[in-house]
Amino acid sequence: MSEGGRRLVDCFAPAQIRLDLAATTKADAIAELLAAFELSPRDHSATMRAILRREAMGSTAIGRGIAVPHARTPLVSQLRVAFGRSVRGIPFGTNDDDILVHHVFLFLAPPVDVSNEYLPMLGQVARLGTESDTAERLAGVTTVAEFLAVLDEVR
Amino acid sequence: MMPAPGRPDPDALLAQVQRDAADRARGRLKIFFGATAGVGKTYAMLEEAHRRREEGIDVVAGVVETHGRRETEALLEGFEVLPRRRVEYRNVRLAEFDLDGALARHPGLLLVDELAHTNAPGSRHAKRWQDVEELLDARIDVYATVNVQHVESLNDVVARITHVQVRETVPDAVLEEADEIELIDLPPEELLQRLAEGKVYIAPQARRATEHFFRKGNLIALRQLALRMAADRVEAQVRTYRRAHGVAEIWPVTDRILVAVGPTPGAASLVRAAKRMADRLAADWTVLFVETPDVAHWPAATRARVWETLRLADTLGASTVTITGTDTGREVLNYARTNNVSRIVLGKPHRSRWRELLVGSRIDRVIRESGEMDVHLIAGTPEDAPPGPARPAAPREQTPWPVYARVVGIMVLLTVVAVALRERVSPANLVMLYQVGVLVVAVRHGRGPAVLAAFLSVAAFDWFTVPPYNTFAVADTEYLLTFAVMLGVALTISGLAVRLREQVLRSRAREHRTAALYELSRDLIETTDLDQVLAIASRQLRAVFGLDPLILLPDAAGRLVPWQGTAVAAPIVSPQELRVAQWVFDHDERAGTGTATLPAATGFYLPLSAPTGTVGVFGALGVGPDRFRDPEQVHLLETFLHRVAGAVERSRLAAEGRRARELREMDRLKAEFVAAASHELRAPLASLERALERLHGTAPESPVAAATEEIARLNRLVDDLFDLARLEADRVGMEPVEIDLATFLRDGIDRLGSARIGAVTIALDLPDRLPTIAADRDRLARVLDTLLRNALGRVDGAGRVVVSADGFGRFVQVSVADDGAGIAIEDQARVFDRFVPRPDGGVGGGGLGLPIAREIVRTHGGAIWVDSGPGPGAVFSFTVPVATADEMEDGE
Repeated sequence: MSEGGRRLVDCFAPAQIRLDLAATTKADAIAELLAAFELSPRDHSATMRAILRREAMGSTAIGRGIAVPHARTPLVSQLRVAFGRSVRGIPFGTNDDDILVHHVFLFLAPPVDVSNEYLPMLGQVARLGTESDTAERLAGVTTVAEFLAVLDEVR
Repeated sequence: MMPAPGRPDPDALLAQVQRDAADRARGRLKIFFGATAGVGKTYAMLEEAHRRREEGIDVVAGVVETHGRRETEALLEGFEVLPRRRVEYRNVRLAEFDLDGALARHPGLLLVDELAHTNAPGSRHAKRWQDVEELLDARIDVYATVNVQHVESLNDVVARITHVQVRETVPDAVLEEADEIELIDLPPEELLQRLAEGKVYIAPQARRATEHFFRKGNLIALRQLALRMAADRVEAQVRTYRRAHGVAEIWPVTDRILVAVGPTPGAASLVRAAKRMADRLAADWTVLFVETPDVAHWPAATRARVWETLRLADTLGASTVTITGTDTGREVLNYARTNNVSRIVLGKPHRSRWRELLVGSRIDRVIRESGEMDVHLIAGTPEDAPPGPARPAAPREQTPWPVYARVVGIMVLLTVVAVALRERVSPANLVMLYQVGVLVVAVRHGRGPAVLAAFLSVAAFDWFTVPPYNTFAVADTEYLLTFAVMLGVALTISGLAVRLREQVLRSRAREHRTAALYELSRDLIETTDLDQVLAIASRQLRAVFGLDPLILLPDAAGRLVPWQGTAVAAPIVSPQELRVAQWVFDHDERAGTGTATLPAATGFYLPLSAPTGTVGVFGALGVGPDRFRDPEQVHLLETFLHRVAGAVERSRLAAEGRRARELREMDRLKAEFVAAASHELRAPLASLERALERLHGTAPESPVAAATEEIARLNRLVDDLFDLARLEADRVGMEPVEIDLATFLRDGIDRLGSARIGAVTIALDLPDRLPTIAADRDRLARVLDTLLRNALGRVDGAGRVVVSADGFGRFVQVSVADDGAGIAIEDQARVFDRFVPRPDGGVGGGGLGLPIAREIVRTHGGAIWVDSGPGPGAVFSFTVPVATADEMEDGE
């Protein structure tokens, strides 16, 4: 998918991986992950609005306990990804009730994706929800290194 | 370097802007400037003040010294005169200018006489000109008067002329900063007349001193000073204007500087000093080297220094000239006269006094005969002349032994003739015969053979023609004198002849070089085709230097690749040599064999330096380290390569221009075709539509309804095609206006109409405050309409659409979100491309709505994108610039 270019695992810095999310709601979970990017307060809230606006139009939960909240915004100049895991689960449906999600991949991408990374990576994560057992393995990791090792196998 | 002609010098522009800006913040100062007291400065000032008052300006006389002159007093009448400030100093009551009074009164224009006046002790400022500075800072315009002897920089000059030292001075800066200087000029005769009539005021205590002052000679000198000062100022203004406006042609350059350089170590610093002078005067400058016959006998290092100096001058922007002659001073003067040189710059001599007495100083001569030209002597400091690799002295020209054999032959021949004639011709004539022989040898074969011929001729003359014959013994001792004179004359003649010969050879070599250079330039000017340029260059380099040149040009990544001519295969260059060439290219310096850098290489490499940078590298493979030891050869080669580099650069630019033109032309043709095609399609579509409408009337339930719908779709498509072509062809036709975004978005939703909206919920989600945007209203409305209709299409009759906007500093992001099926990830990248399947996955062409929207947003300098999948829902967003970027700072 990402021929020769960056792979999903390359996009993660350890600081952007939270194996134990404190949040219990969708909005809090997104805010907690977004905080890892250390945006200015203004950009943080603007980005937050963009992500929630997208969520309001349809949940980004894609099955197997995985959700992919995302936004394209001029406030970032390159693709940024964060991961959060909640053992307890976070209600991620449109009405915050139905779907429980354990693995949250947050994507921020610039409007003009010069390096053409965003959509291929988004596609990789989307397939996790349908065809592989990665979700189960993600549930079992205990360290950041293990998490990265699991992602490393994603193609 | 001087800025390119036609392009304004940024520094000059900046200075001008700063001055203009400062002017507005300050009052304007006009100075009435005269050679001496009594020329009528105050009178002229008052006259002009009258005119200004008639224009409605509030004029107040601050200090006007009428000195009891009735005409002046009459002019002062009617002006409001500022009361003087009374000051008591050592029991003398003084009436001083009242600065605070003037500031409080704050007139539009204040008249202040005698700018150089020294204020009484205890005043705020020591000098009146300082008072004036404060007035100007308070934005009061000031008229003031100054005499030339009060100008600080001229103070000494004036003292020397008049023997009167003036203590009250005005700094030159005050005059330089004055907005206007008016010279009040009065011929000395008239001034003396006025003086005689008692019309010039002279303080009683200064009467004796001024008697000396007002002599006609002094007055003439002072008037000249004043005129020159005023002229210099005008010149400076013109120069500022010219530099700021990049005018090169309209004003001829007034100064032309000629720098004569020699082999002295200080020559480089002389060239630099001349460059500074040229920059200061905005003058053209030429560096001249006179190549005398002596040059041939200089050590190689000395000659190298000259060529290095000329190279330096080249890089500093001078034109360099080398002329051949025997007398340096005369050649410098000749060149200066024929080329309108206004200043000659020479290095200070380092010769001994003895030599100067003996041969006379060239510099004295240049100074004596320079006429109106200025001659500047500059003490050149020896620079860090890099010792470099020790260059062996150029091998002296070896005369082959057959030449000496021929000399002997000539002498034998002459002797045969002499012996045949010795009984009939006087010995004096035989001497002549031998002298002719020596002369011929000297001219044809040079010094060594000539010396040999001189001795041989004396010996042969003695042996064969002086009695007693066939012995060196001499009967008459008088012949000894003859021999001595004969030898002396022969040696002198041969010396002169040799010099002449050398000069001829040198000028022939120079002529050859000049001709070759001319030929190269002439050929190069005729083509802009890169291959032809390089073919010409190769041919000429081969002809002049006798070598097979290797020319390397950078590829797109900046890596050098050997140029391959159309006729010849590219030479094979080893990777090591390529690295050397690459170094030359990257550093713009020579390298390779025979140089100090990478001398182990087998090739000798020089950069092809063009005005905008290095365009390639010249290489000579397998030439051996000595081939380019001679700095003169290298200099010539560099001159050649300079032209070649210029031509390469020109061909590059020409090719780029051609490509750009071709692309533009292709774009234009495409747009024209699309516009024409869509126009042609409209007519048949319209008649089809009308025909279907009639059919529809007769059979409403038939397939005609479907056909009608398809026709409508076709119609829209044709319209869009037409619009897109127009948008692409006409990016400049935008009319940005300020738009209130909230109203704009509401209007957009209203335009949809309730029929189209149906059961869909459309919500508007806006922050409390939104900045005004700057955009073309109609075009932006089209973007919004497209996004709204697409959203309605995706929710398909029931669902939610949310329109929102956010300010981000300099731009605003508008989003249209819907909760439709969403767009598959793999389709998202292409939704804005033309003729792709519709984003909603529906059948039929997606149309051109989104491509048109993208085109419009791009022309506004914004971006447009989609956020969707995985999963349902999609958000289309675009950005537009705000009209004023200040309102959203606290909007979050």
